[in-house]
Amino acid sequence: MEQRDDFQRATVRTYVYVWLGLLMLTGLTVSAAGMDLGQLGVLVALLIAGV
Amino acid sequence: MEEHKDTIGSKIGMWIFLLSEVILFGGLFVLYSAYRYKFRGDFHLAAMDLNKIFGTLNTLILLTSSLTMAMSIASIRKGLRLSSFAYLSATVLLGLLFLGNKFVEWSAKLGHGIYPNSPDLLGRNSGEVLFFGLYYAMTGLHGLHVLVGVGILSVMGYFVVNGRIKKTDFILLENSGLYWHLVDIIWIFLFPLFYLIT
Repeated sequence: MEQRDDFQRATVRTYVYVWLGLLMLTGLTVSAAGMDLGQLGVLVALLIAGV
Repeated sequence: MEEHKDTIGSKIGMWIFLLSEVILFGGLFVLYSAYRYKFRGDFHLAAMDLNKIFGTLNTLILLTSSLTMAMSIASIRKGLRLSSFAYLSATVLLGLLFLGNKFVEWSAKLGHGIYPNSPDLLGRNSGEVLFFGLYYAMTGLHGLHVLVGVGILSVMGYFVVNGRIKKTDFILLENSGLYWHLVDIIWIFLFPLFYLIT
């Protein structure tokens, strides 16, 4: 039972880490959009979104 | 007689449905790419009219709603019905907040005379007309999906409360979660294509 609780705690922690990672990537995408990357802009934005 | 449940079949069915959704939006993304290639300058001009802050805010709202959705499923797996319901309610509220933002954003666009067939829009270059046509069609179709998702998740909330969705049988909630995550992912692609790439 204890082992299972640990597993479930780890799952919730993973969800929160993934969420934080996605928020950071959103910030990165918005910042990258502010830079003048020319034709590469589309590629960079979609690559970050794809991650 | 005990009710027969085919959990695996149910999940496969959901994935096939999601695949059809990917094909639906995929077609629109291809259309967007083709027109963007043809009218690069016009798309650049038109995209500058969209509000990045609204787009970013809605992205954060949907990402957070995906977290609360996953937490709701994690809770029901532990048998925590109240917690599952609370996370599900938060997901529904975030979905409504997304739609509220969309409403304000669209109202502002309509107020500025930017809507399909408006005299203001028809006076612009053809690429800009196409950009806004695609903007309304794609974000509108996505918004419709969010609205449907909010409805489905509300019904799931009712099922969690009345015990139809429980620790030993939560496939309905899991499939609804898959749908909600797909709606989130589609937005993750709409956001940079319309709001960020100028």
